Amino acid sequence: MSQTTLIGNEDADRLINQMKSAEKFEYAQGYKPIVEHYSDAESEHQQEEQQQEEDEEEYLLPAYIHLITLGDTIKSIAKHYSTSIEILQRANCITEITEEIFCKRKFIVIPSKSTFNEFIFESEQVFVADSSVYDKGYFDTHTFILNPDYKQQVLSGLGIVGYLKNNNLILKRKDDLDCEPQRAYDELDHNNNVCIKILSAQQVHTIKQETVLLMRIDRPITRNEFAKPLKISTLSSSKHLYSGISLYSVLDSLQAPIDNVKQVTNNVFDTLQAPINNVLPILSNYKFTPTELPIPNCNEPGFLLFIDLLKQPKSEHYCLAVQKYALQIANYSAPLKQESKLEPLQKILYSCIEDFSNKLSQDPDLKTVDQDYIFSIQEGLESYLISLNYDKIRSRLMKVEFDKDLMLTRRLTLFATFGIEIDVPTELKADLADLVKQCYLELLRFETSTTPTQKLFYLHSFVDLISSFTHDKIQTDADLFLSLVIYILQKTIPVSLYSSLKFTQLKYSRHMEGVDEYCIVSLEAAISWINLYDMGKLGLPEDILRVMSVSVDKGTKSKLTHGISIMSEL
Amino acid sequence: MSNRPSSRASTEQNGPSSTGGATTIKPVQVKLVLLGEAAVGKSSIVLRFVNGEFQDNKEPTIGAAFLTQKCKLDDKIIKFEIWDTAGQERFHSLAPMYYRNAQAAVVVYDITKSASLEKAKAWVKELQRQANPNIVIALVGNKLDLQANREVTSEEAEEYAKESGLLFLEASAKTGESVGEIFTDIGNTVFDLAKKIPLENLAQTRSRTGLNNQAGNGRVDLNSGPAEAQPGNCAC
Repeated sequence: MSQTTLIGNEDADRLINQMKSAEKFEYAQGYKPIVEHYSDAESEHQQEEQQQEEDEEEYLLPAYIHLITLGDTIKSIAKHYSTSIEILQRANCITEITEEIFCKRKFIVIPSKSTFNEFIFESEQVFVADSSVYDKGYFDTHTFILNPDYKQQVLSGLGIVGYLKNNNLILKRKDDLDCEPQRAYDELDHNNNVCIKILSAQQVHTIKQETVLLMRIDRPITRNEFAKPLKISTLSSSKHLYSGISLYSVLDSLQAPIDNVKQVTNNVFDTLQAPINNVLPILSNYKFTPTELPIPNCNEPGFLLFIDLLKQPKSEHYCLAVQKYALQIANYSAPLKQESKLEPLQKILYSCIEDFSNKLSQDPDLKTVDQDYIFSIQEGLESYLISLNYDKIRSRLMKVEFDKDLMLTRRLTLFATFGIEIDVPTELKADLADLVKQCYLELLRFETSTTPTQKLFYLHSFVDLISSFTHDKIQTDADLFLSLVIYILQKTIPVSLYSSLKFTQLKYSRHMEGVDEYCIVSLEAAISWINLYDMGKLGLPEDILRVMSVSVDKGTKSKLTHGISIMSEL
Repeated sequence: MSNRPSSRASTEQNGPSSTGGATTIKPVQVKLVLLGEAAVGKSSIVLRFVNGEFQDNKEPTIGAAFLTQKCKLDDKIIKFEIWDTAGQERFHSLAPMYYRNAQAAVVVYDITKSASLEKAKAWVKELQRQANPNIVIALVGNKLDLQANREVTSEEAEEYAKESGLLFLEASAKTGESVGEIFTDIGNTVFDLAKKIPLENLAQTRSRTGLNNQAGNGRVDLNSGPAEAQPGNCAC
């Protein structure tokens, strides 16, 4: 929980009144008021007297403020504080549970004893500006931004310098500074503080295409170092561009992986989760150069061809398209929390690729090129966009797949331990160990590669190994092929097979057919068979998968360790 | 449909063909699945068809599990993408993953084992219930060279095929008899079907995997060839 609170007098009074109007029985059982008094004028004696009184009224006081962060739900908050949704609803005047429940809310009042960690209404914390996020600055900024005459006001100048002190973010407006914002910023202790520089509005206006660069972060920060006032998606409409990329929304974007924070200045699109419509109007007037594009590490032929295209002198509009698409995909993949949405992502991806292909077809220099060239470019763009967003897609989009990975790993571990009968012809058994060793490496590459094309390549290698293995000895039909796949999986115990397979299916290009499709379906079939296998046949109880403690983690390290053990066994 | 003489006398090589040496005909791609009880000779039939006495297949293959073969049917080229399915009972539940989006299916039984016909019927029933509604199904009795051991009469199987709306052939993977015709008949039926069913419907069923939604990407595109399809022997 963040230590920062954003309650002002008016808010507190209103909240207290709300709480007082609620019925006692609606609060959590065992509740005992912790914050007895809001008024700092009361004496200790008065407080003691009040403490001795019946607690009924004190039940009605707010006990804790939970600052809403990205990913919070009313259910998760209620669970976290051991209270109920109904109580939270009542305490916060939430009449109906909807998706927009947190819209424009900064915090939730938690009227429960178990939640109490700190005194939130202590006067020194409320009234000393330096001890909390200077909310007025935020409020002013938005008032200012939403003003229809904002352009004129922008030119009047706005400067904020921020730094972190005792875990509180301190923001100072230009008027409160002793010197110019730039100098104040320079004088901050950059080693020990998270330093934030809000450029003057004049500068913001001048370099508006880089508005999101308002802030510079000088060291990695943790999530709890910033209060989270709003969900980004509730911030603005396209009409008020700046409200979508204001200070607080940029802070919001810091919920992206911390490693990305340092790259804010050159890779803002990866961290910014603002609605794309807020950003594109500005970007449309800006020409990117290839040097500004983050280039993932990839050696696919199509990818390299695509990068070459971007580096050509006339490629600025392609660069812009690429940035737009990368943002669109990042924007889509970031907020998903519940279940895998592979198909919608595919649609976005395909739409991006087709748009880009249209651009290519309109390019007079490319009109005469053959379809293979276009397909290669499509494949390159696909690889580029996906590898750029690989972590986000994998970590946020594929939670369901990760669960399935884990379940599969558990089953395979049990298979490996107890052994299942796989029909493999006798004449092949002698060489199976070598096959397993080779297949293990290909599966490892399959799991760790970052683009669908790469994954498909290694999946092919895996299949080719099996196919060529049996070629001289026995004809590989579907039964034998599937049996060998299952056998190899139980010997190698891949840790992210299912999610890797789903990731491979993001692939767009025309080559995803025929033997490619067969490879994928065969692997899917093998996984399905493993998942449907009755563990009772191994003499294991039905709930073994639920209760077993899995020794194989998802991490690469443990995977490698497992691989080394396989190698040594072989 | 009764047995016909083998049509493999055709000497056309597989691979991209040209008409008049000027225009390359874009092959029509058809996903075909092989179903049937284990050991009825599914793989043998397809290997005979693909390798036979023709030139080596240059397309990627996975043993006999996945093969491709191009056939010339008059002025059209059809490219069969042949998916073998695991026939063992323990893999039965996985079959839908294989026949999903297939345009054609060859259900094989062994004429020397009457139980294999019953199994074939079960496959046909399953396909008719769960597969692409426009799928072309051929019932094939294999091991025609073992007439002496025949347990399933031609009439019995043919009657069932007729009742169920299936193509029917008896063939021998060992001798090659009628193997080519299986695929010729399927190819012609697919072309005939394309005249009746809007292309979009076929395309929809083909893209359900989500693996590939791109138009004109080599998927079934029955408009790509000449407008009229003429029945004829496979010239593969």
